[in-house]
Amino acid sequence: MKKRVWWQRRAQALVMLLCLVLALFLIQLWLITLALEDHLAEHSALAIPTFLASGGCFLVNLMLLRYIHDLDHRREEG
Amino acid sequence: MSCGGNCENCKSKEAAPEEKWREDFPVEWAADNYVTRRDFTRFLILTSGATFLGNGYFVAKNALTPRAESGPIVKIATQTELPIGGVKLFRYPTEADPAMLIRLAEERFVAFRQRCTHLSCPVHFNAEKTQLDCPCHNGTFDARTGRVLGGPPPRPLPRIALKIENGEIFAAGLASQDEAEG
Repeated sequence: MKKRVWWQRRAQALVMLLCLVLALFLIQLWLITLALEDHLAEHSALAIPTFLASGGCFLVNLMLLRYIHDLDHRREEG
Repeated sequence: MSCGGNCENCKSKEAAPEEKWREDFPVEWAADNYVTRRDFTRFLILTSGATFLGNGYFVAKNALTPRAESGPIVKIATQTELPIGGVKLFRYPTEADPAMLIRLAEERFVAFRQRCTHLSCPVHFNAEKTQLDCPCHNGTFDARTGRVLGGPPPRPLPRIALKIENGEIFAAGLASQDEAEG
């Protein structure tokens, strides 16, 4: 029973992380759409800002991945 | 007397099949959910990296492609070659850049890049309205200045500077945005 509760807690924590990752990914999709439209219009003003913002989102995602890794290796609490 | 299903006997009878089932398949639903959601999250993060690289592609392409503000001087037509309202297509400043020369009046020539500033569809000259039409999303530009008249294009059409010498018309780089807006 304790084990089941423990797994449920982990799954809930993961759902929170998943929501965060999904939100960041949607922001990145919006950013790449902006960059693509700018590129097709033969302009380059948005290329670097969108690249940096997308990089920021990706970094946060990597940090969350590290957290998931930690979550995987956390021992079952008593 | 009824126990209402709360006595130890009833509980053990109900639990027995479940325990047998769990012996055969000892996977918790919560654990299973955890693994599938974790894998999906990892996949999303991988896709996030790919999106970041996609943004990097646009930066690299902009850095590697030279800007054509001061392009080469290239002969594109002679004055007598075009009737009034006539159009000649050419490529400038490179073979990958379609452009169009338009004769608006006896002594008035204009040239524009042929790619719409919305999504790069080729624009066409509409002599009746003296405007350039983009058939993809109904964008329209003023054929005299390149200014946006309607539709989704966010910027004026890039205008090519022209030089006329001895009846010959030369393209001489891209005109500045202010010049293009007239």
